[in-house]
Amino acid sequence: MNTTPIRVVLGKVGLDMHDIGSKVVARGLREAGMEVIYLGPFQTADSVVGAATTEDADVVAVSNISGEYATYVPEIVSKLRDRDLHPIVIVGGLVPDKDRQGLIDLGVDGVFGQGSTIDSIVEFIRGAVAKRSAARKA
Amino acid sequence: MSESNAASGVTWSGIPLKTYYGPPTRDRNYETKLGDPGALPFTRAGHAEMYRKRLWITRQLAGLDTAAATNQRLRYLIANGQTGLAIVPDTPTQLGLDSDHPLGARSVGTQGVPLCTVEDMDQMLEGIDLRGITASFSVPGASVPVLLAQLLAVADRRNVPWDELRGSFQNDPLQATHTCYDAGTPLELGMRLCVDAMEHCARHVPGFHPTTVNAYDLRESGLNAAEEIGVAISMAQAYIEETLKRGPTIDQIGPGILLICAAHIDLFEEVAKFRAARRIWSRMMREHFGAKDERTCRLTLAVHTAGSSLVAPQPINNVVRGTVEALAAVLGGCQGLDLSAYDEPVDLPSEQAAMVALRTQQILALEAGVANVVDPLGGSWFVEELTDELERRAVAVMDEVAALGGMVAAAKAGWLRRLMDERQWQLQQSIESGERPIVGVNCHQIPLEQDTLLSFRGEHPKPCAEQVEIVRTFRRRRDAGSVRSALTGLKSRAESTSENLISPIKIAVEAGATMGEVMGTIRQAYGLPYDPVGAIAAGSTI
Amino acid sequence: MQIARLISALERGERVATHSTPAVHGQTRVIGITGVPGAGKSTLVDALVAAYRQTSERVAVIAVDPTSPLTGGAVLGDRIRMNRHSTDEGVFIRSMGSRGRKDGLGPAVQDSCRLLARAGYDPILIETVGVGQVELGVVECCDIRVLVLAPAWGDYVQAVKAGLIEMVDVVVVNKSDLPGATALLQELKGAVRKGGDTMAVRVVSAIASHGENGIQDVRLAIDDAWNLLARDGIRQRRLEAVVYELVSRVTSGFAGGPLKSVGDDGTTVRLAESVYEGQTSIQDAARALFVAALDRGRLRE
Repeated sequence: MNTTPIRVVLGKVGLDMHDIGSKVVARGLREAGMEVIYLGPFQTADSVVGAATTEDADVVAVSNISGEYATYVPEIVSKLRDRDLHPIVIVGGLVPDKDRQGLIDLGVDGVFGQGSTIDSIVEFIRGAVAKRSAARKA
Repeated sequence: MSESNAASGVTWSGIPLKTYYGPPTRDRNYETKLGDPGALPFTRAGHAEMYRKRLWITRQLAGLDTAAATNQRLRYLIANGQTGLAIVPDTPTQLGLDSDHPLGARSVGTQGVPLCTVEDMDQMLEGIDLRGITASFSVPGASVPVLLAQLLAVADRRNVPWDELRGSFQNDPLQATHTCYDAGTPLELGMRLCVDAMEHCARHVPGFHPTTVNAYDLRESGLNAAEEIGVAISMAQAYIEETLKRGPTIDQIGPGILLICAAHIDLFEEVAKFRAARRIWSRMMREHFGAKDERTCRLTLAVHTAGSSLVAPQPINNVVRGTVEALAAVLGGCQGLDLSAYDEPVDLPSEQAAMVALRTQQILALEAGVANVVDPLGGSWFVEELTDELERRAVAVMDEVAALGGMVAAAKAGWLRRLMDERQWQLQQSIESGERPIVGVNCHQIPLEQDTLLSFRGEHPKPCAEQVEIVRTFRRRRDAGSVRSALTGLKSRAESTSENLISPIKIAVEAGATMGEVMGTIRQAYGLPYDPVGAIAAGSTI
Repeated sequence: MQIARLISALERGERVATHSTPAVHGQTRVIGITGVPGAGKSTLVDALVAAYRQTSERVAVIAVDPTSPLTGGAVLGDRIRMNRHSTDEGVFIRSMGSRGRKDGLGPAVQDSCRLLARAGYDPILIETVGVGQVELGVVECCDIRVLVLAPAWGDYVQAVKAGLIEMVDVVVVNKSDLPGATALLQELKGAVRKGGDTMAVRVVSAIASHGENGIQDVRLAIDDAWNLLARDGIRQRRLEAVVYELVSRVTSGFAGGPLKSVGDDGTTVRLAESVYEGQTSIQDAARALFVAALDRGRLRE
């Protein structure tokens, strides 16, 4: 393989245990040539950001279906900023439409709710990472 | 549907119906493979009359953000004909954490009812006659002994003898260990607590089913129909074997175990699956465990229609899916049924959706006539062969588990984890590729703007701050000294590996110890961290 | 964090100024943990990290998982078992894909160790991929080599057959609560005694998932091996590690560069056909291929 794999830190925040979706996504990202640092459930903002830091993550992906993302994601975004880290941040799981814009306004780059396909997530990540490297070179 | 309702003995047009139909002569093949309904090996049905005598127990899952709110919902459902209570505790309770735990507080009351203290249990059951209902708790993990203790404590307060209590827990550590519901509780501790509950009920709470092996979540994890029952029955076998070591007989233990299966969308396969499960169970009890009582050989089946088969696009179609699945459960002869509400893909059931689910069952039972005859599909060449095939495949799975040394060894070796991961991936692929058609998702789709989204609340419940306060107030009012001494007693009992912990847990709960404090103490006794997610220190809440 | 970014650069094959840090990075202990999947390596690493943190040592962990040869992607899941250390500033956990290497390591493990040592992490635990029993990378590149076995996995027999037990410093029988553990321990201790070397292999048992069960014993065995190494001379060991890495890089660089290039343009196939037709001997063809490849010049990095 000639291209460097995109590194994605993927975890479930709070006490949400429904991890089937996130595991399937992890595998899908692997099939798409990415390195997925799979954190599993029970993550807090600190543990996600800690991992994103040492793993030099290109993407931070938060999975949640219980609504807890509403308390954790803003913390994650602000802690990343505090450490001067700028990975792509995406949120997946059960996110009602009315919450989407709020997350984007906070600084989340992409929201993948119910029924999102793996292909759409892969495409989005590749596009966002490419855009960011182009911006850096400029 | 109260117990006085039963299915009809005539068709709509007045044709009288037998209770069940069979071949003109019963040959050996019939007797050994099928048996009449209510007779070994129970393939056709657990009871001779089934719904002609009494309809299945309808339960809709209930679990709102506080015990008080849940109490209101339960009373509403009972008043509208529900005969059993199906209670879902919230995630912190399921994991053995308190409502005010740092992570717990962000999800308290959002996915079920918080049952942190004995007062929560009491409040939730206020004004409900414990003698007149069956209460099933959807709790797979290690917190079961605490909830059992809370329930028994409430029964004592109301002077209800324990042998009049009816209900069930899941109490399924093998399943919990694969779905993260056992946070901080390794399998050996989970098994110990599970068997403590089983032994205690076998001896002292005989009307209660302490263990409901959760075949449903296995299926939801992607396993197919044969694997669902093969793995679940292997799990039951493991629990039985461990409990037998404590002394009770198979005839004391056996009737205490239920299976909760999925009813998925492939109608005939599901009916055949239920029939095969009954036959396998009966043979296992008789031949493997040497059960003497016929009742031990009779599998009691609770069914939950498959939540994963419901989808968000064109949601009203979920009512159709639920109906087909409920039909499978009825034709398959289940004893209890939970019908997933049509808004399941995005929400906890709204009142309206819960009502539609209840009415669906009432229509099936009272209008459609599908409950009038026991095992109506029995004798169909198709269904009989399908039953045999499912039995063959399920037994092959059980043999594979046995070759690994039993389900506990298989779990530790990661066998089930690998199977589930593989099936989940295959399922997702088959949906995305369209190989498995799902109407509205990968075929017959309509644009989002044209979709009728009904009255989705479309909002995640906020964590219940009120419950956090309720627990804090409870702590302030209790006697810290009694709590500490009860927990010290519990810890030393837990450290000696053999004594049943239900009694010391009950003492602690009655002294005012909370869920997290009891579970934390037990974990410490096992050399594990007090708090599975490492957020609070031992004893810091007392 | 700077180190994290530098490690990424190293993985990409960029030149990062680590070469000025001598390979003898002071007293930093580099401990390699190997063993088949399912033996409990990650759980053991997690328990060891906790033990080292109790004595206030700053620990780094490099956990390697296999990269799919087909897609180039990987699921790096080892750190799930080390989750409790994610918020500890004294622990640096880095997950790596093997990215084409077959010896259990990733492309930048040795250089990353140097970086981490310079940043004050000691010990550095390397958890290898674990597809074989003991991977060559761990034997060659790490100061102390730990093999983790679990009973009822059947790989003990394989390991002994391949003479692997003698290649490590410590063997841990993990999950020692499972049936077969006692038998496995006896067999190992017997095999090790028969070896009769001065650098004896230490065999310990543990239940890594269960509190401190045996972890102190593992630590003591590691310390013991380290003390012996420190006494007899680390320089030689580490020099050998650099030699291994050099040879490894040249070999894979040659295979991936010049050799691949002559393969791509058909030279290899033409030579193979000549052998197949009986026109050339295999030795002559090999020589010819080598010369043709050398002509291509650059190593692939």
